[in-house]
Amino acid sequence: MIPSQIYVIAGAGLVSVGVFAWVVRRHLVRRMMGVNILSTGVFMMLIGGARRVEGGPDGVPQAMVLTGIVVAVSATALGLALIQRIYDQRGERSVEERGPM
Amino acid sequence: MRTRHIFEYGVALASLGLGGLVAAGALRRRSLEPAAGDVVQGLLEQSGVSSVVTAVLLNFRAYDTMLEVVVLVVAFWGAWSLHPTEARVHWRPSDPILMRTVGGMLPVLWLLGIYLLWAGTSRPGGEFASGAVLGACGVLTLLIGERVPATQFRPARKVVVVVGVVVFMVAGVAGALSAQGGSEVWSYTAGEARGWILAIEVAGAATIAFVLLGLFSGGREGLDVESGGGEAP
Repeated sequence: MIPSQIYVIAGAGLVSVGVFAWVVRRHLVRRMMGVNILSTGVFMMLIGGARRVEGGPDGVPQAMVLTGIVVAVSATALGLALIQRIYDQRGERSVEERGPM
Repeated sequence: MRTRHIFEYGVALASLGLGGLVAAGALRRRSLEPAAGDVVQGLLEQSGVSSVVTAVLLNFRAYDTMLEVVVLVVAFWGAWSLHPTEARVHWRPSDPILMRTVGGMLPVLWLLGIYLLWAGTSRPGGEFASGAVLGACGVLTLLIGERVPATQFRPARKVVVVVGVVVFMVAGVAGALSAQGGSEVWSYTAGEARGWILAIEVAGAATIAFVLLGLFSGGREGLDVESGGGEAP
């Protein structure tokens, strides 16, 4: 097995874990973490797929992941700000696994 | 409770299936072959830079990169509109260990960020890497209880947050005004590409760094050090 396939398979595993956490978990921060794991898996698969035998790695997936990481960070920050706002509105910041979310 | 368990098992199976499908698709020989990469390598001469990644980001796919910077700016506006910017920040003495270690590292990190920006045209680096490092510098500066220079001036903040997008637009409009027959509208020609890419990188790195810093501070102009991370003072 060549190393890039390990990254692709691990990335697919992260996608599975991320989707599961995103759908099943009720706490918003955990959901946000699930989405982050999902996007990390996608980035890993893109980078793993960018390998090629001669002439160095493919530049296009790298460029996509480079911007994608920064956009994912900012989207996460906005999501966390919204989650903070939701807790402020409810008057609690509990991390219980309950609630209408 | 029982339906919840069934639901969780169902979702687990479904997400495992999804991961398997994705892996199977990605492992197909076809998807591992560089399709666009070869085209980029062939056209690298016309891009004005020698780094493949920068050529893709700021020349061949520059329109998309501009919209990604717009995504950052919109996220920034979203986060800042949730909190009152007038919230006063209590000054508290910072942790001396944090102060010593981080304070000594900051100039090196600034240098690294500027190096990444400079390296972007020929080596790995560029506006996103540089902006991320410079943004982290700003976050560390806030964590040790210092102000990031120039961020207290409202006009400066307003300029920096959009400059990365505005330079893109200026480049596009200039390309449209000077477009000859046969060349593409809203783009820069091979001759002037290098200058535009440099301008976009410098402005973009400033915007990205500032947006990341602003997202961390979440609408406050400083941070209450002792209450930790993104907590409201």
